[in-house]
Formats: sequence, C-alpha cells, structure tokens
Amino acid sequence: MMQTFVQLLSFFRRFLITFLLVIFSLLFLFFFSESETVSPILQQFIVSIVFFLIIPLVYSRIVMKEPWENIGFQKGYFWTGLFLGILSVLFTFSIFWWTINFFPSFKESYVLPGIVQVSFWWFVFYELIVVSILLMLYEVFFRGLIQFFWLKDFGMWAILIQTLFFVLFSINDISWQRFPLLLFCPFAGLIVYFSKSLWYSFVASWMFLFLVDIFFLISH
Amino acid sequence: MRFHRGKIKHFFTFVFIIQFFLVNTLPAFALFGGPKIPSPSSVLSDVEKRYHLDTGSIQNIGEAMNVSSGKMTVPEVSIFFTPSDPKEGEKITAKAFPTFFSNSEEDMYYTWSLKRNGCDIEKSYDRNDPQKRSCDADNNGNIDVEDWKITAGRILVQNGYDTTDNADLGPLDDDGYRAHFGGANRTTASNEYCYINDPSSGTNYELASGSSETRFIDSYGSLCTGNRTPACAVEELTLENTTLTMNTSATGGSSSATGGSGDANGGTGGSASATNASASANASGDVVKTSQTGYTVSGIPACFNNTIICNIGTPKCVTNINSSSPIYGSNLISCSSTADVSGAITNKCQHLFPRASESGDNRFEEREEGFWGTNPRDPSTADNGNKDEANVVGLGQSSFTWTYQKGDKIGVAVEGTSLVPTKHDNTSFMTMWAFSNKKCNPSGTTGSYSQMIKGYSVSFPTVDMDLNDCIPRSLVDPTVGGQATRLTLAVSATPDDPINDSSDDKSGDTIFVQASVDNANKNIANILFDWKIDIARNISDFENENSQPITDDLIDKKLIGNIKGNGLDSLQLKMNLTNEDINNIEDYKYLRFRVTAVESFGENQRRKGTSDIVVKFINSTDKISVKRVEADDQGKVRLITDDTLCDGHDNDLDKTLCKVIKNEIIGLKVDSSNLQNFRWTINGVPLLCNSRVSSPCDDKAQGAINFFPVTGNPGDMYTVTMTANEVSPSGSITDKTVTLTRAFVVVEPSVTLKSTNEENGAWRKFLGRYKSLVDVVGNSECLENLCDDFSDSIYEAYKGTTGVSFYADFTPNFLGRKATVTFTLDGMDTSSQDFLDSKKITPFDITKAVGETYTIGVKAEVAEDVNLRKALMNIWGISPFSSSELHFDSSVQLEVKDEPVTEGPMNGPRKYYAAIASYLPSSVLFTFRIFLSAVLVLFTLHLLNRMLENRRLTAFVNDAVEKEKE
Repeated sequence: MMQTFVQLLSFFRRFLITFLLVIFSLLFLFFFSESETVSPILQQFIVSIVFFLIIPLVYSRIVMKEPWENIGFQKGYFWTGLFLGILSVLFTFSIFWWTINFFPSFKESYVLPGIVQVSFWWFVFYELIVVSILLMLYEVFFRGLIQFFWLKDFGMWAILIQTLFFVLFSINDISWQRFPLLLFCPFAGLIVYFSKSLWYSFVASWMFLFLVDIFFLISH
Repeated sequence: MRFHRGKIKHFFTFVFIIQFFLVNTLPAFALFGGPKIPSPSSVLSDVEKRYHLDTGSIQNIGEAMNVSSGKMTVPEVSIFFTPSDPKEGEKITAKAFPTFFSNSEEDMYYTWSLKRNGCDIEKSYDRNDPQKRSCDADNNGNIDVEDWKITAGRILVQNGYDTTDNADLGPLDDDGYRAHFGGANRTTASNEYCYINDPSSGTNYELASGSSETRFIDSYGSLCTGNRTPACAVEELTLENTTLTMNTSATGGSSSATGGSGDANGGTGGSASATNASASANASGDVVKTSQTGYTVSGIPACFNNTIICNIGTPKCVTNINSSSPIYGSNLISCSSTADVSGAITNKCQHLFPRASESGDNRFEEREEGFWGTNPRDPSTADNGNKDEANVVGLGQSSFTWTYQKGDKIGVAVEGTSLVPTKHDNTSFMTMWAFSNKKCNPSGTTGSYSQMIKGYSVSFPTVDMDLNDCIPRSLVDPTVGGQATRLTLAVSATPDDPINDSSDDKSGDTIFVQASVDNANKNIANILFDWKIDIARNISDFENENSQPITDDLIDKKLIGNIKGNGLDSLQLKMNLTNEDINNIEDYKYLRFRVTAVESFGENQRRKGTSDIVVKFINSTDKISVKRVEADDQGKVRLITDDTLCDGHDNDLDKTLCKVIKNEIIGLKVDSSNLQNFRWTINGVPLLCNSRVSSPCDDKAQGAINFFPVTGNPGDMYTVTMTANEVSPSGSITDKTVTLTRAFVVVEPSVTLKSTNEENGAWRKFLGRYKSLVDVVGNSECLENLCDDFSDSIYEAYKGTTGVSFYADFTPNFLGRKATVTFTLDGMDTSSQDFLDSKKITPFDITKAVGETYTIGVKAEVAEDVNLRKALMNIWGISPFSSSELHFDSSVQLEVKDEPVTEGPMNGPRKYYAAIASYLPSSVLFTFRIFLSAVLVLFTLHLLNRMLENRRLTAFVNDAVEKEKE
C-alpha cells in the first residue's frame, strides 16, 4: 500500500509541485498587501514580473530541469498558429462588436490612459511596450505554465482550466476594462494548444487588444 | 616784493624836490654873509628833516626798486586731477588752471603730453618690441616728447571718435586753423616776442639766437677793450683858495669909490675916490677859482648807426670804471655795432604744438586728418566747437580726459600772453609758456642785444633754447600728491538715551547704528564695513584706552549679528547686557560703536575711513508694568494692581511685545519711589491721565500710572514711553533722566487647544523636519538647526490611554481670565465645572479603534464689563456698539494609534539591516523582498521535488519499514 502510494506520489510529483507553485503564486498575488512606501503601480509591476515571468522560467529550467520549449517558447506550428490567430482575432472582434452594440456601458467604461489619448507617441509606447509586457506575462503564466507545462496531459480541458484560473485571478477586477482580456483568454489557449507555441497566441492577443484600443480611441 | 605806482611816484617827487632846492636855493646863500657852498649831503639831510623822511625807508624803497625787475609775476599753471586717485582703466580728467596770463582760458593753447609707462625717450628703440612701437606715435623711429604730445593730441582731437566709422560721407571739410603767438586773441600783434623766465634770477630771457657786439675806438685809434671800458664821463671841478690884494690911498675933499669887477676867473678890486678929502682902495686877485680834478662816470655810451651817444657827459675810454676816485681816460671818437647788421639777432619764437611745423598753419589736409585719426568730413570730430586743427594746437583745451593706465604721466604747456610788457617800443607783451610742475629754466646759450629806444640804449637778455626740453620735466604723475582720500564716514545712533535691561526680562531698547559714506566711488554694497563695540565708564576712557572691547562677547550672547561684511552699514544691538555678560554692568554708561569702511579697487588699492559714535545708555531694571483695569459705575477706571499682564509668566515674548486686543483698556504703572516729573507719550503723542480718567490721577501733573484704550486694528502697534527725573535718596532731582518704553501689538483674539500631557496623553502629530534658517539654541525640538515640525491641529494618542485632556490657550493670555468656555468631544458637550475653572476639557479615555479619530472643540465668549464699556464711552468716546461680546472657537483632531511594537536591541545583523534599510530607497527594498520570496518559493519547490524522487521515497519508506520491524 505504502509502496503504491509512494510510487504514485513520485509519479505525480511534477503535477503536484507545479500545482503548488500555481496556487501559491495566485494566492500571493491575490492577497498581496501593498507597501505604503512604494507606488502601487510599481509594486504590481515588480510582483507580476517576478511571479508571472521569472518564477515560471526559473522553475521550468532549474527546478524541473526542463527546457523552455516545454513552457511554450518554441516555433510550433506556424501556419496553424497564423490561421488560428487570424481566425481568433476576427471572431473575438465580432463578439466584441456585438457586445459593444448591446452594452453601451462597455464603451463608456473602457477608458485608455489620458496621455495615450492625446499623444501619438505615448500611444505607440503604450501599445508596443506596456500592452506587450502585460500580455507576455499572462501568456507565460496562464498559457505557458498552467496550460502547456502543468495541464498538458489534460488535452482540451486545459484550455478551460487555464481560463478559469484567469477568471479567478481577475475576480477582484471584473469590469468592462478587463473584458477584452477575458474574452480572448480561451482563444489564446486554443491557439497555444494547436500551435504548440506561445508566440502566436501572444501576437493574436496583442492584435486583438490593439484593434480594441484603436476602436475606442476613434470612437471616443 | 611788488612796487606800487604810488611809491615810485612819491620817490620821483622827492627827487624833484631835492633838485629844486639844489638849483634854486644857491643864490640865497648870498644873503647869509658870503660865499658858502653847502655839501649835497647836508642839503639832503635838511630836506629829510624838513619833510620827515626816514632814511631807512627811502633806502628800502630804493633797494627794492633795484631788484624789482626780477620779481615780475610770470605765468604759471596748476593741474588738478579728477579723480585724485585714479584706478587702472578708469577715466581720469586733468584740469589745467593757468594764472598770470592776460588771455582768457579759451584763448590759450594747451599742449598736453601723455607719457605711457615705458615710453621713455629713446633715440632708437627695438622695433620688435610691440610696447615700444606703440610709444612711437609718429612712427619716426625714436621716442621723444613729440610722441607724448601726439598721444595726448589724438585723444583730444578724436574725443572718442571711431576711426572705422565711415558713416558720414559728406564733402571733405575745411577745418584748418591759424595759430597766433600769445593766444587766439593776439591776432593784431605786429611783433611777437617770446620769453622764458629764469625762476632763480627772475630774469626774463627773450627767445632769440645771437647777440650784439659794440666796438668803440678812442682818440688814439685804439679799440676800447680789455681793462678799459667805454663810459660817459663828466668833469669833476673843485674850488681853489684865492687871494685878494687890497690897495688903499687917502686925500682931503670929497671922495669917491668904485667897486672892483670880476668874472668867473677872478676879478679886480674896486676903487674909491674922495673929494676934498679923498681916500681910495682897490683889491686885486681871483675871487673864485676852480680846478679840474678828473672825471666821473655818468653812464654807458651807446652806439647807434656808428654814432657814439652819451646822454650826459662825454664818451671816454676809462680804466677803473668802478673806482670811487676821479677817473681819467681818452676820448672815444667812433663806434660800430653788430646789432645794426641785419639778421644778427634771430627771433626763436616757436609754438610747442605737436608737429608744430604744420600744426596751426590754417591747413588741415586729408593727410593730416589721417595722421590724427579725425573725420575728414567732419570739421569738428571732437564735437567741442573747435575745428580739428584748433584741437590739434590745443585751443582752449584746459581739460584732458583719458583712460588711465598704471604709470601714466601727464604734462601741459600753456601758451599765452603774460602780464609783463616787453621793453620794445611797441604794444607788445611777453608771450610766455607756463609748464606744469613749474620746472623750466633757461638752459641754452644766453646773451643779449641792445636797441636804441626813445634815445636810450636798452639791453635785452636772450636765450637760445628749445622749450620742448622743458616738457620731460613738466610731467606729473596723477597719483603722486593725489593719493586716495579717506572715506568720509558719518555714524548715527538711535534712540538717544537707550535703556539697558540688566534683568532677565530682556526688555531693553535696541540701538540702531547707521553708517553713511559721503564720498564713496563704489556702491555701498561693495564697501566692506567692520564694526567694533567698546564699553566704558566715562567718555574719556575711550581716549585713554581704558574702555573694554565687548564685540566678541556680544556676538557670543547673540545680542548683535554680523559685524563685518560688504554693505553692512548698519548694526543693531539689543540692550540686554547683564552682569553675566559684563561684570558690574551697572557701572558702565557709555558704548562706542566704531566702524571702519574699506573700498577696494584692486591689489593694494583701497580707500579707508573710520568713524565712531559714543552712545550714553542707562542701566535700569525698572519697567512699565501692564495691569488689568476695572471701572466703577461712574465710568472711571482704576488698576487691578495684583493682576499684571504681559509679565512673561506665560510667554517670555510678552515682556518685549505685549499682545492686546481691540477695545481693551490697558493700565500702566511704574515704580515711583525714585522718580518725579513724569511725562507719558503713546506713539509720540502725549498720554494724559487726570481725575476724569481715574481718581488716583492728578489734574496738575502726571503721575506714575496711566491708561489707554486700544483702538487700533490687529497688527497695529503702540509704543508707550515714560520719561521722568530721577530723584536721589535725599529727595533732590538728579541730572539723570529715566526713559522707559513698552511696546504693544494689537492681535485678533483667539483660542487654541493644547494637550495637558504630551508625554503620556495626546501629543502633536509629527509632520517631519525642517531646516531652521536661524541658529536655534536651547530648543529641545531642534538639533543642529534641524527642527521637528509638529501639527497644531492634529494630535495622536495610543489606544487605551486614559485621562487624556486638553486646555484652552488664549491669545492674548489674559483673555482666559475673563472668558467663558465650553468644550465638546465629538460634538458632545463635555464641560464639567470641575475643570472649567482651569479651562480644561474633562479627561477622557481613548477607547476608539486604531485609525479612528476624536474631534475636540472649544468655544469661548468674552463679555466686556459694563462699567469698562461705560468708561470707554465716557472717557475716550468709544461707542458701546464696538465693545460688544467676543466669540471665538477652535478644534483639534485626535487620531488613535496602536501601541508601538517593542523593538529589540539594535545589534548584530539587525543593525546592518537597519542601516541598509534607512539608506536604500523603498522601491529597491521592496524589489529585494519580492525576489527573496521568489527564491524561497523556488527553493522550497526544488527541495520538495528532490524529496519526492522515487528512489529517495522508496529508500525512505524501506528504512521506515525496517525500523518498524526492528
């Protein structure tokens, strides 16, 4: 009995330990108490970088001694990724369009930073740097670590589970402002699942958000 | 010595009188019994006696007249510089003041010379030396006075004109000027005679070359020369003894007689005959007989047109011409003189102008314009009203302004017509030059020539010299003799009779000392002032150096500020000198404020000035006491003697500046035990107290108490001054006048809440620290001028603290004595009579949660006494409507804080962490903490991963099973 338990424990140790890491990271971020002496935005940035990017990469490479390909940093299936990416963007933008028409408050609630609205170069900086970094963090943690590394054996279910984790992560901030990210989350998982790479989902996510921002910038 | 025309006239009158007597009185001698020739000395002696003429006086006149020609007033010139102590690069003006010229200032020619440092006269200089090359103004290969004159002349004629400025493109100008000897106004003079005065002998030498030589030939055909001298001589005759021979005869009858006859050479005797009886007598022999004894010199012969001329006597060639004995010599028969030869004497009159050969010739060509740097299209480049060439010759240029360089020397030669007439037979006066420095002596070949003028031979001394030789000696250093004058400092001090408060009240006067500089070249902000303060018992102690320097002591005691600094022209001294500062301060009466002002212009160039003022001060611990006032029902006020205001009990500053509120009546009182003859003023206006104001006041004289109503608005100030005579213990008035002053400021009445116990109750919230701009001493909240900043409206207290209380602090403080207050805690009235008397809120406990707040409030009401309002109206006419009740309130917030965590001792790694944490930015520390967390997570996961490896788990389980079996 004991032997069997030990063998099972040893067999599933990768799953169990990664589970602990995911749970700990999400709980840490969820219950993270802000320091009074440092800017909240800076704190969020530092914590996100550490827990969504650095820890998954180090965990994969050093703790599990696995290459970063296992976390999704590989070429994968280019045409699949491209096709699914374009399809996902078109589809999600259609949903977005439909949502905009049925929920006028969406349009009013989604607000870009003031300086981005009035300065072209700040807009470029915002889209190329800020949005890119944010999406890369989410891709690495939710699609890379959870879906691709941890729940690889769950098949298509992994897409649903990582979406649930993302919703749980965003539970404190469910708003129209976050709706585009939540909307594209399952499609990003779909792209990763079929293309075996984070890059296509990252590009597709960025493209979708860019179109959304452009839309709101024009419509406002 | 100068000879007045009147004296000379009297002298000649005297001579004429003598001559008249000599000539006309001789025949009268016959009336006195026979021929008798008086001696000239006896005649002159008689004349002197008759006319009361003193021999000595006449001799003085004669002696002075003999040398009068050498004491003529000849032209001079003086130079004055502005400024007298020029600085390098500064504009300096030399002003020439010529005297003893007959011309006006603007008609004379001023030839200025400017010698720069290193521009000494050199025949040939190193042309590779740029400095020497710049000295050669005319670029002729040598440096001489001409260069100095040209250097100055260019400055004069250009007068700041920019030679590169060619904007004026009009036609060429006609700016020539013809100079005249003796000045611009001497245009009609036909002959010019230039003279130079020998200051040692007084002789005026005519500038001429050559001299005349006259030859006399005697009757023997010999040249009268060597030890023989031509002279005009008259015969000298003496009377000889004569003998008359008398022949007599006598007969009867009538008789007749005839006198003899004679002439100048003798005579014959007379004859006598008698009729009837006759007798006759005759005399024979010379009556008067003279003989020639020789010749005497009557003058010097002149030779004019080869004719010997003697005004008196005959021309002779004599030896021993100066002998007092009669002289002899041969007659002169012919003469010849070189002066009669045309060209023998050459007039050397020459202007001293720069480039004199072409300057002042009425032609100022473009070439000359280029040389002088003038505008060829502007007739007056200098824009001073003179044509350019007139400026070159210095017409009327009595001032010369240039940019001073170290080592510059300046000279001027002024040409004009002197007041001295020439001996020439025309209207000429001597044309002369006056040189600065007055150092110009005839230095060339001297000689003389003679001319027949009005029938007399007149001799003219001559000198052949170049007046340019005088220019080097005429140079003046502008800084020599004109060294920097002292700065003129004036010091004033107020008040006149300051009072020193030797008590601890620190309510003494402030002496304000102000220094002013009259003759500073620089702005006052650039003058260095240095103050020193001495104290003495008597004024004479300052002169005897028995005074005590106290400057450093005053600085240490913070009674004065800076004593040395640029622009520090004033000083303030707070007269709070105590025995601690100066031993036996009561014995001292005088302070001396000495100030030294220094104006610097560069290395070793400075002007200094010192001044001081002695201030008499009075040591006194007396002061005007401020009392609360009450009034009776008749509206008269009186002091509440035991209720003193502004005594420093609550606030030390109140002793210096007493805070009062509008419509308050203030009572004033001084100790009258040793004072008499009081005089009160408020803001300089007499403040009177009589029986209508208060019963203790006297209608006849002012006393030791007084009252005034506060009618001003917040911010206004009152200064009450009491002056009285000091009375000695015996009752007599001393010479000492005591003046006491008290200052008041009108403030808005207010109340603030303060914690009764900041240590264990509620404390003011700490806001941060600030750097104090002034030195803070003795303040527990400041460390090395870094002071804690606490909030006055927000307090903090720990949760669970009991007995927290606040009290009402009134401004002015005395309001608390008559104010009615109510306290609120979170809006609820918590007033309790037990604590209202002490103006405190009822103590309460901190029971709220951490982070919550309490709001403590206070409301105050001050209702003025009815009688006092009546007094305000009756005595000072203040409407009762303006003296109604006062309402004011205040509140503070009390934040509840958690009990502090007990901190362990700061040692080991903890202190290093504390040090790092205190210096590193928060963001770095935050990142560090997050990374540590990440590392910890990864380490834990790694450990877990290794532990859950199959072989380890199996081995672990097997070990556990084996142990269980055992």
